[in-house]
Amino acid sequence: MRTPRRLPGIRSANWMGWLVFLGFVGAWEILSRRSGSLYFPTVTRIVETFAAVWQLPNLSAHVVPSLVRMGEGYGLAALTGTVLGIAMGHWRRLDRFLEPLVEFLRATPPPALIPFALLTMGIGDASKVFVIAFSSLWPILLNARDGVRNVDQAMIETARMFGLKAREVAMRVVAPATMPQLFAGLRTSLGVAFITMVIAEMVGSTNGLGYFILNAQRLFAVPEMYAGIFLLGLLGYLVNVAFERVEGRVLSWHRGSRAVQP
Amino acid sequence: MRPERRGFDRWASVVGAVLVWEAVSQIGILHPAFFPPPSRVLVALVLELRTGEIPKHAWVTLTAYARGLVLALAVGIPWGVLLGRVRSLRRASAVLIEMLRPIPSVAIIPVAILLLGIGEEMRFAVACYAAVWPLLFNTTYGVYNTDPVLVDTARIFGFAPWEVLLRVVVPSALPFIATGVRVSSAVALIVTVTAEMVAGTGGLGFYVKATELGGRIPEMYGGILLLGTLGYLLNHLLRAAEGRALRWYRGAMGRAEEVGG
Repeated sequence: MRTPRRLPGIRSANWMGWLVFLGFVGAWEILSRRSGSLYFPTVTRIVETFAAVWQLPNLSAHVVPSLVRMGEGYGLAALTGTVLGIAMGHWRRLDRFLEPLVEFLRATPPPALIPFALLTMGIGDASKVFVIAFSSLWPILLNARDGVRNVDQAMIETARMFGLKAREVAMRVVAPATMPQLFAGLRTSLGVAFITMVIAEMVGSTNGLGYFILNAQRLFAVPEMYAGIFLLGLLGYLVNVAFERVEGRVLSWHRGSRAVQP
Repeated sequence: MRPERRGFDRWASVVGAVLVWEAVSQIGILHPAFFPPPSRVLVALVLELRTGEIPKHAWVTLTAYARGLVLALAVGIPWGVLLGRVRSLRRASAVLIEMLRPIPSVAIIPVAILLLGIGEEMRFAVACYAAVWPLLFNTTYGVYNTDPVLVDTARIFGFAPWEVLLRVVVPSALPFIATGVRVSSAVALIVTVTAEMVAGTGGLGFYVKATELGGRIPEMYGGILLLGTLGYLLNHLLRAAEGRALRWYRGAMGRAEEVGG
């Protein structure tokens, strides 16, 4: 099979793309100046607000709590998902046993669990961390499971024939072979954790970025709202770039990973 | 392993989880006010079903979800085909799309509230916006990766450009499009429920939050259970449809890359 080509990304030289982007920004500026609507502030106004709002006080009041929650929830999901996924990939019976439960829980929309979490864990960070961990658990778990299950049996047999002990087979054959797929799950989950963080903060929080943009809307602080949304986009982008860096390092030995690096 | 044993394994976890929850709640290890036993949740759910309270909210959620998803299909797939086929369009829109892509789709809920209010239109618009992205990316990716040999062969055999598109390019991208549909469906449901919680006047998201605030805890669990069941059924339905539509395409399920929104 041909290896699928990746679409050219933002970092490739693409003057046409940048031109269209600048045209979009320019059109926004002109249209909003003409309309003068409260809900449609100019780009310059948003940029000014962005610089004014995202100073130390707001960063520590909203951005830091968001990132801490997301990090804790995602870390918890990565740990549980990897361990449980490997166990399910290794023991078929455990997988068959848990699969219906996993399928059901995975299909539950994460926001539905927020009232439950608020009720049982309170308004503090624990409820948000729980919901983030819950929603980002599944892609990691399923990819870890499939990764372990799809390890080439011949490689394992070969390693055994050469006299490797079970522990060595696990560490030197199964673990490396599982890694690429585990990372695919970790990458999907990162996006899920990010979105769930925003949802959880919108529905049941008094700080964080999700709360900030919704509250700005409620106060009709429209430029602040847009400044919050653009910060979310920027953070989403940076989080992804950071992940790609880590993935590139960890999987540098793996052929398929080259496509990931710019 | 004998088939009946497999069947036992499949149900044991669900039945076991329900039984453990029942016992733990009845004995009082977890406070029954916060963790009511499943039997009470079931009774509450049945009562709410009979009064028509829950069906009303479920209908609101499902219509916003379905309208959003259908419009997203109508917009996202043709747009993706266009971007996958036409290099200049792909290049021209690449930077703008890459700039918008990392913004989590739920973050536009406040914008939608400003522009459309807190009614049904807002929830429909948000669901549609969120559902377009996975469809757009998966379709573009699938179309972009059509085997050029297939396209050239069809051309040599005298297929008109639109025939090449409909009979070669789109079918070969279908596994990716199907993945996009599944991801979009899940995303649309999540975003609809979120919008209902944030600024709802109805829908299951609104119901779950209102019952929690009103201290009607068994009803809250009933709503969550129903949302889980809905998500499960919708995913199952789409998988079954995908299996039918792609029966000719072996290994289709394994190849498509899931691109989240």
